[in-house]
Amino acid sequence: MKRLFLLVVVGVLSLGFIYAQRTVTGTVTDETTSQPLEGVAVVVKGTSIGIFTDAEGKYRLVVPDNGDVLVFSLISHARQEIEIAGRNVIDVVMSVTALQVDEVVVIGYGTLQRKSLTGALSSVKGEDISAFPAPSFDQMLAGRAAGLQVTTNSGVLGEAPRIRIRGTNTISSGADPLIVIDNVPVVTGDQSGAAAQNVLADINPNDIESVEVLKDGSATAIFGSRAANGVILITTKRGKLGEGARVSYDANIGVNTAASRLDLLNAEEFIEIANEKFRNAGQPDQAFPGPGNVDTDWQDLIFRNGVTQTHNLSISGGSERTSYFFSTGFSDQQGALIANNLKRYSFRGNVDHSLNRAIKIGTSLSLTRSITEGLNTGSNALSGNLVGAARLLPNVRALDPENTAFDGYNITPDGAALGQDNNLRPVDNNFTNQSFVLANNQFRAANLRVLGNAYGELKIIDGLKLRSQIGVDMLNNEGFLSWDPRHGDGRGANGVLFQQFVFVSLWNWQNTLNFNKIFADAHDVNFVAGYEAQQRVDRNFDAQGSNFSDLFFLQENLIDGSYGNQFSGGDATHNGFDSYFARVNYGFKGKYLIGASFRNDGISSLAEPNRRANFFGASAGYRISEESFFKNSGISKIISELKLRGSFAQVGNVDIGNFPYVGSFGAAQYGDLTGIAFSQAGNADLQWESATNINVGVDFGFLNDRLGLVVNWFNNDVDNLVLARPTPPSVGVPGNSINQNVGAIKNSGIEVELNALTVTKGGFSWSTAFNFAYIKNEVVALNNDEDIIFTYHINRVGESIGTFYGFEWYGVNQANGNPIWVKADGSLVQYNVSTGQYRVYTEENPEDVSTAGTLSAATDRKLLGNSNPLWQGGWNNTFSYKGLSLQIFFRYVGGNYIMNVTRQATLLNMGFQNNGREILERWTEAGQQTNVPKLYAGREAAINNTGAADSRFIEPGDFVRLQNATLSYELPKSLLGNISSTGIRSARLFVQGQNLLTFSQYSGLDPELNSVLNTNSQFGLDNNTNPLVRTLSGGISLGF
Amino acid sequence: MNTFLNKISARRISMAAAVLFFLTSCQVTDLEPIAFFSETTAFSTADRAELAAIGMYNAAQSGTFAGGQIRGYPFGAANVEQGDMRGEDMVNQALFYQITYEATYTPFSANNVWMWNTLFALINQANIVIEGSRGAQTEGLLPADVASAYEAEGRFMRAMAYHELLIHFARPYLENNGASQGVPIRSAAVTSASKVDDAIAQGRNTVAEVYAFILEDLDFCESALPDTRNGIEKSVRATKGAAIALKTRVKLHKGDWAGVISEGNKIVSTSAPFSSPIGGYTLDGSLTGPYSNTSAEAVFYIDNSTTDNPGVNGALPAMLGNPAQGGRGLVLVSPQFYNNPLWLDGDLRRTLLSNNGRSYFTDKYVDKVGRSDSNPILRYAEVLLNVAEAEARNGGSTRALDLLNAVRNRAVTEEANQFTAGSFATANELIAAILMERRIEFLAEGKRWGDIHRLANDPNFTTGGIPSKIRFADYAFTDYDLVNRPAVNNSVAAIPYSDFRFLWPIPADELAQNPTLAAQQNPGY
Repeated sequence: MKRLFLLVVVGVLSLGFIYAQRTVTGTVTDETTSQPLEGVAVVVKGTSIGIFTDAEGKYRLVVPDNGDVLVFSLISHARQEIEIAGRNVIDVVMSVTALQVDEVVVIGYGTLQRKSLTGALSSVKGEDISAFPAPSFDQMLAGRAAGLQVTTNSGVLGEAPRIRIRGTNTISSGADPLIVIDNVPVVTGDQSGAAAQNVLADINPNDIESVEVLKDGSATAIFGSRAANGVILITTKRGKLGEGARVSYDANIGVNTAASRLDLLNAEEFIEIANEKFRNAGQPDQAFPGPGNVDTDWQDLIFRNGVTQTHNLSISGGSERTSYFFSTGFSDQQGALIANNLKRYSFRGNVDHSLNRAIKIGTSLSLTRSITEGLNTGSNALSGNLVGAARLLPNVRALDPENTAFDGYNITPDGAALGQDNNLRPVDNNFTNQSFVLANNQFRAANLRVLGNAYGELKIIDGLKLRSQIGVDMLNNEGFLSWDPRHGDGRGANGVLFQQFVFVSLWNWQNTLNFNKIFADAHDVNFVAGYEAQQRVDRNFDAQGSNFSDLFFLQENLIDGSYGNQFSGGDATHNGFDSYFARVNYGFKGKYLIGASFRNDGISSLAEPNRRANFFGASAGYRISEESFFKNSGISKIISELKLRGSFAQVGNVDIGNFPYVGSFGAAQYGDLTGIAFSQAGNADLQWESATNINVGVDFGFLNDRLGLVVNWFNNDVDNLVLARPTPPSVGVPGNSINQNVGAIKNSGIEVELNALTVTKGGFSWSTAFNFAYIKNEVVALNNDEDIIFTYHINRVGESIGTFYGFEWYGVNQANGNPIWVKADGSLVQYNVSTGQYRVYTEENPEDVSTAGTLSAATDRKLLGNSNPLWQGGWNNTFSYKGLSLQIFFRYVGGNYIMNVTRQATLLNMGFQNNGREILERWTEAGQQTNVPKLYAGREAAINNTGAADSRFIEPGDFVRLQNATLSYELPKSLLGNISSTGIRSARLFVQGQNLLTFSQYSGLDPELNSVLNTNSQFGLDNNTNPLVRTLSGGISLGF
Repeated sequence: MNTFLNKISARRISMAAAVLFFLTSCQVTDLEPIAFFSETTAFSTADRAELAAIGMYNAAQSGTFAGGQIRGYPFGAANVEQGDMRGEDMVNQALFYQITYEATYTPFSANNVWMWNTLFALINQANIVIEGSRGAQTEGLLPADVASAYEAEGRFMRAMAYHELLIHFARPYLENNGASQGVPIRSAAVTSASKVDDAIAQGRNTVAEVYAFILEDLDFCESALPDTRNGIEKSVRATKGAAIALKTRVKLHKGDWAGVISEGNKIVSTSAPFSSPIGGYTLDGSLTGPYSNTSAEAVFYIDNSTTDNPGVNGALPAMLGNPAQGGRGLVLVSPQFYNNPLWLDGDLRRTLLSNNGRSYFTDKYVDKVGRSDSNPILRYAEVLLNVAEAEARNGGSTRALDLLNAVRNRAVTEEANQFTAGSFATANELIAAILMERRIEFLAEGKRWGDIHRLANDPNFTTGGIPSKIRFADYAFTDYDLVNRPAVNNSVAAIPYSDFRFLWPIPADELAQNPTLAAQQNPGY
């Protein structure tokens, strides 16, 4: 927080001349705690003369002759103006506020005070997301800002969350927001070909000072073509001029566990169900009790209590001209899934130095090594961990000590499948022994990342600055994959070892001219103009061996001559931008605010004639509360701040792939021969995807800003979509799609953010922050308005993107156990389980299966509910008493549905595999009322409609989650002893939990799970997805 | 003071201007793709035209299956697995092919959906080569004969793809001489949005129209393709002999016996030992030899290699191979077929089987680790049996018997067991023996479904539809028994020819994006 007054301090120090007249001293304390307040800016009103209070809350300021009022300000507290009135000692008691209008927030290519903002922007403080041992900071943003949706798809460490700002604003293109760290747009997503890996996990959360989420057009327009999905600006910590070195150490140790588990059949139940499947199909029993009536819970063999620890050490401070922040971090997280680990070693150095009054230089630099160890989590993979745990037979042993060829694991002699023990057949589809696979196969992605920038700033005249900054993001990723030759994925190839080297290099050069000045105490002008260029190159190559001479060679690296078959591969692509931009913000007396921005962008991803485009934004604000009639009226006692805002902008989306317009021939290998083949249908006319964003907002401050309320209404119309228009398979276009500028999509909604200091009494305080967003998505136009149909979803004009589309379930025929559906015309059809035929069903005569019927994919599928949430938000509460503090954070999401494919395809499968306990309710005799049809080996495709959505498996996705709770205790200073002798400035102990409780109707593992990562149109699918992680931890923060 | 400040400002401003000037000279957006050619340059040189012709086969060998996986669709392996799993001589062991095996397919089930998708993707790649080579000839980049040869390679693969489509998605030619709904004929390359719209207008052609289209292509191929090629290209790229061999198969499906004979005569000598004047094909002397793509018997095979094959989830040695030898063994030899007394106990082709103590598997595909086995699409043995059947049906029983024996006696070496003219009382008995011989000789080569399909409404040899089948659970290893030949319960019921399940449905994606075909789904789906 204190950094926010950096500008003021720079001003103070660089001026260096003072009309010394008299000295005022005093102490500033907090109203609630009566503790001294450090870092309060004390400024002589109307000048830039000022100073900060020290650790004891004391200040000493030389006030010029003409100074008669002192302004005391601290972001978290209500600003006070006090007349000096001849006094030499002025002690001040400050009270905290909820609405921090003086706060300086980071916007694109500059900063602005919150009170001057005319756009929609949410800020998240670094401390809110860094205090938890999480795999990556982006996950922790969930629920923290209205309109920002962060979905953690599973409990797999390394999987990147899905991030959306104000909904999904495109269909085929990327919908991720632009992420900018210290002014450099960074590489995001998963870059590894060997293990799931989120490259944002390279950022040490502890280095983050603040996160700004730019939501509306006026906030994002300066990013022009890259703004349609919103922008997240991340600012890392920096040192403070004139402050001695501060050292802090934070440590956190905890345990990760799986937050939920599948409810599966035990061995006895499995034998009964499995044999019934075969008997109903006229086949003999296949399942028999295993040795010693073994009852294996395969989930015990894929989940664990993973130990996680994080350590951070930082030092920051500054002299008169130089400020610095250095940090080093170490994080070692064992996932709740066996074999899933994340290690991060990070270093950061941020330095700023003023050469003289005109020139300032600086750098932000981070160096990270992060290593993600993964596993096979494939939804349909025979060695996938969760699908395996769910389907592997409970009546066979995981271990068989006599099977020494397989290290004592229970595996069939040929190595093809899990051992069958006393069953007459192995598990269907040769699912593998998960214990063996997890113990022997390796998946790893190791990043070495250099991310940073260097800048020089030249002050031309007062208020006018030229800044040039070069930023780089260089990412080397080493992928490693090793599969045991005996069993599992490597068996067919007699061992596989794959190594991949990925190199991503992005450079970004920004040159800006900034003018920032207040004229005549009334006209506040903030102007920026600039040029930006960026290029990114992605390259990778890999080497792979199979048919290994010995297991020994599969451990760490490819070893020459140890494998019979050699493979190599590689790929490369690149893109480039260049842009000219300008923005002006003008404020008159802090009351009337207007802003406008312009950007001209060029991008390599489009054909030359269409390469450049212009983007505009405009906004206005009116702070009624600054008008004298308002201030003088009684209402200002209640409403301390009232601002109306409006904005309009046209922005674009360039996340359309690198060469989407090129009709191309790619390499096409045919066995031993190499050739080329048509690989992409081109479209030289391809144009920018563009969005028109409107935002109207009101900011309120109540009761001297103890309560702040921000309300926004927005409407984003995205037109000219770069749509991967689906083509019918029978025309044979590669990928069955062509990129065309057709279609439109719209997101509109309301956001509310409420911050309140509810109670501050007698040392006790309760502050609360609540946010809510309602977002309605609508597909407005498509190619000829034809539906785009996916396996479980549809994009249809007038509906929300990715609406579920499939068959309407009716129930189970009580007479014969057949499943029944409702056809498009309302008539009913049943699938005759025993004969494998569709038959007409009538209520009058349920036994009758004589009339042939159909269940048509073309005509009988219906809309079954939206997959994207309609509303969501978070609620944070902080209770403090003396040094004790309790923080409780809830998050909620709702209005959406989930297609539970895990239940449909896995838990209720009709193969020789285990099932979920729901199958015990299967139909067995006439007259039985149930929702689970008769069993029949091998007929799950029709019984469960696998491969299609069925309303039987579509469930509400609403949930409320107790996301975090932290109890901390700040040791009293008295206990720490004298700072000068112990060196300890502060000490805090804490315990915390993440993902503690979830309230939901969803029958699956978690309502947030998604098996299609980062999807636009296929959200809300839970397909053998691993459960989320629950973390319990404790730690200490020390300040020296 | 003021002047000093002004001077400083002036200097700073000029520095600023210099920086701004420097940076505007930067060209960062002028980039070309690194990893692929622009389509305009693909046929710009003779060498690239050659590459484009080869690349087309990739669409036959490794078309993308659901989500971009490679499982040997349509001809890298999948046609064999689907063709056998639609028949009764091999058994499905797991869920992989269960939908195909038990005929529970829907417009969504992946196996049938991706056969449709990849066959049409191949047809479009073929059309691109056809148009590209014609264009290159027009522009003088290629000599006429070279351009025609590339065009013919495209038309050969197009013909092969269309025939495979017909046997899965359309009724046989013998029903009403091909008056039933076939599949849409696509003869123009689709490379842009406007061409998509043109193509969609074409609905399903009749079976007869598609047969005519196929044969027109193959006639062109016969005139334009080279007699021979070198090395493995001998069989893995189209040749004149391959086009003629395919015609014998296509005409057999049409019931055009005279046509089969006249085509066959171009590549089959009048009497034994049979050989071909075009391409020099003869039967391989060894039983395992024919599965190499350089065998004398290899007419047209789809090439696979260690570096490029249908993978562990598709390759023939993986899917059909004995697990005891490192295969996955999802497709097994049925004990009923194993026990069939017409497959003589001493038939050496039984040595191409092995077991794992539970089931028997084929050993035709050997490279379980590298998965480099080719897919034998057209063997000379098939040509001989095609001609044999046509001769027998056409009254030429002596040559028919010679042709049958040429194939059979390679494996049935005991003279007492060999057929003579006296072995058959009637021509139909001879035809039945030829049909049985096809099942034995081509076991695990995916040809069973083609025969079931074409014979479904044959007056004398009807298969009646999809035969009943046994399931893995229906038998034990002891049921493979040449002494007692135990009867095994057929728990998968037969499906009559009239049943809608005799045909595969048009995929749901096709119906969704193609209003013309949406109205032409196979009845019953």
